[in-house]
Amino acid sequence: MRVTELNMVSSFLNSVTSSRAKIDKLNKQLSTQKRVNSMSDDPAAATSALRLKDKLTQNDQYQTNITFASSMLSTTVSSLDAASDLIIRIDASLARATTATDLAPFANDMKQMFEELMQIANTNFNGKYIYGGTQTKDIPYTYDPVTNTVSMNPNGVAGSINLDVSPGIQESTNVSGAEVFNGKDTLDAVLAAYVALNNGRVPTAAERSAITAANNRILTASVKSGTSLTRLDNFQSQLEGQNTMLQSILSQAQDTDVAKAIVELQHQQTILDTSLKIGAQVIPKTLVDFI
Amino acid sequence: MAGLSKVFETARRSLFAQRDAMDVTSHNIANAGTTGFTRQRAELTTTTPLPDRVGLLGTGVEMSSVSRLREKFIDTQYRNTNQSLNNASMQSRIFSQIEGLLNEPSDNALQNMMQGFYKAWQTLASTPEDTGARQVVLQSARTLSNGINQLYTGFTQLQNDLKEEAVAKVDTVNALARDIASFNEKIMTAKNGNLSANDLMDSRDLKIDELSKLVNMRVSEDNQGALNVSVGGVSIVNQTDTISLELKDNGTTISINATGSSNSSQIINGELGGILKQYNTVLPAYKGSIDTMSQSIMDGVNAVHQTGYGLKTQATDPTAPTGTLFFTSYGNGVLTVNPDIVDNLNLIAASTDGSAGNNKTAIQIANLFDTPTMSGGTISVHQYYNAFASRIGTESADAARDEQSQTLILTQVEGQRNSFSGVSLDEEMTNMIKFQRAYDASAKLIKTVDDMMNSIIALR
Repeated sequence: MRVTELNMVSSFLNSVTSSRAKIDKLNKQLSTQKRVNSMSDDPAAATSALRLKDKLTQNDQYQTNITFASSMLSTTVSSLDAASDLIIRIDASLARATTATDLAPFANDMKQMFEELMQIANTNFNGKYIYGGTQTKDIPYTYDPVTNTVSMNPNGVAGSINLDVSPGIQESTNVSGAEVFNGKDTLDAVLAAYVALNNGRVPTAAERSAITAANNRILTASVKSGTSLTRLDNFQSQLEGQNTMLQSILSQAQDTDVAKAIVELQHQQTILDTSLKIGAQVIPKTLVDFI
Repeated sequence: MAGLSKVFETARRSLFAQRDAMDVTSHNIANAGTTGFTRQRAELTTTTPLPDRVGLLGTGVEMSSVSRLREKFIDTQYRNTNQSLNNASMQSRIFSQIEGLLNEPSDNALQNMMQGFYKAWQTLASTPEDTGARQVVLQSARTLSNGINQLYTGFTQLQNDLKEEAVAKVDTVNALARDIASFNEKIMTAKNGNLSANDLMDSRDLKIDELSKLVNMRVSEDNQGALNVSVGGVSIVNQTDTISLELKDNGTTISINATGSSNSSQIINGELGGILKQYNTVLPAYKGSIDTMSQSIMDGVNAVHQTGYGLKTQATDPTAPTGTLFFTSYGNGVLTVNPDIVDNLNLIAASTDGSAGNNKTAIQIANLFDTPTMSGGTISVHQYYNAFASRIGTESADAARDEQSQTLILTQVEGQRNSFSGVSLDEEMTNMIKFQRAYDASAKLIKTVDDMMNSIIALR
């Protein structure tokens, strides 16, 4: 075959250009630490990266939801514990009142404990009345000292609020006033005890047992919330485990294998050096140099 | 005496012939680096022999012609490959612009905005009574709508740029056609006068190479030495006449027509073919995908949102607002958030019954993210988007691969052309020495014949 200067120059240029292109690509992969910088770099890997990122975003959101639900439920559990303690104190106080001669201090005490219970029932956390059911913006219970009555939000205090915590799984973030206080029964029972004491009368056995029954409901609600909290913890660690796995798959799909890239880079540099050296030696030579 | 003067004559002819051959060699050396130059060869032939006592005796040498060493077959191959290569590299270039606009996979592209939008509804589900969460929903909807708009208008802008580029390329095609026609004229004149037109033919071939970069075309040579060119079935050069092409905007597509005629040129290759394909087929398809997806987002969100309830603005309001559209319209890349919602965040519906803490509507909307609502209920919006991005990636990678393989073929063909038509300095130097030696020897011959003549004259 006839080989002309143009042949040599263009094959030299081609080999140098293609080496440089490969080095440039490796350089980009190393400096961004990403093997896939655009969809066309590796369409299959890029597509699975998109899919994994969708999954990761969803998981992140579930985790955020779980954190939120946990904070709601923790508040609920601690306020329910306080309510339960209060009911035990009320019961003890009523037990002592049966043998007391002067009921006035007991009445005062009862009034205070009633107000404490009202406060608990109207607990507001994160801008929500936690025992208002789905009516989180309206105060659930109001006490009218003139008529000595407790009134409930006319829209009710029922309804559970759920959040997504895993694909297709929802977890309740509240226990409603309807469950905990049986509407306003518990508050009415304590108020009735106060009214009796204030009128100089020891509350009847029936009135006392209404209060004890109230405690059972509070304890049930507390256990329910506590179980929810445990479940949320389980979901949280499951999601964390999944995230770790998804992250590592994502990294495999789109990140640069640094060691491999560097070895390849050195290889390409050697090729480039060789091409340049050979080109520099061979191209300038013609017959002119020897005649 | 007659014999000696014949030798004189032979030596003289040789001197001239070697000098002419040297001329061709120097022309070759001078143009060793000229683009499009084809090496030439001095065709030295023996002159007509004359009868003598012993038979036919040679009368020496002459340069009968200067031939141009060019292979038509390689030219055709080169031009066909050049068309395909430039088509692929133009498309690959446009695809990288498209990928730049898409900007996936990254953390600030449309996928992220879509995720952000659905996440905002989850946030609203946590705190449906909170204005802050509503603000987040509105902002994320605006971000999403901006993102869609940016991508869509980016594609439209790209189409506009491509149209301008196509106009410029058509101008180049027309200019090349005029150049070819004017070379045709010069070459036909030269051939008429039996003159060598080698260098003119090189220049004309170079123009045709340039043309092959732009469009698919056919070239045929007629018996007068003119090259006639047709582009996509429309004849644009006929000997010295040209017909110019122009770009025609048909509303949604563009085509290339012969000026003042409805005669459309079927340009499917070369850079111009690449531009037309992207403008007429590829980009409209991508825009269509954005349309389908945005419409589906709007319809899906609206259908749920309309059944939900917002917040009462005043506690005394009889009922919470319901039946509100979240997005009011979508068209040409513009997804509009209901302006009433922008004015009053309480219109955002999170509740299924009007109570402030009910978050069921918000959850339903958030879950649309994962619900197969598109393509006949087989894939979700985000799966549709991933498939869309994946399609761009695959098509772009295909174009890049095509470009690579065509480059290899062109390199091969170019190598063959350089091998056949390129100037080899070694060869030219060898020729130079050859002609120089012959010239020296011829001169020596004249001197010798002169001496011989002197010897004869001295006999007297």
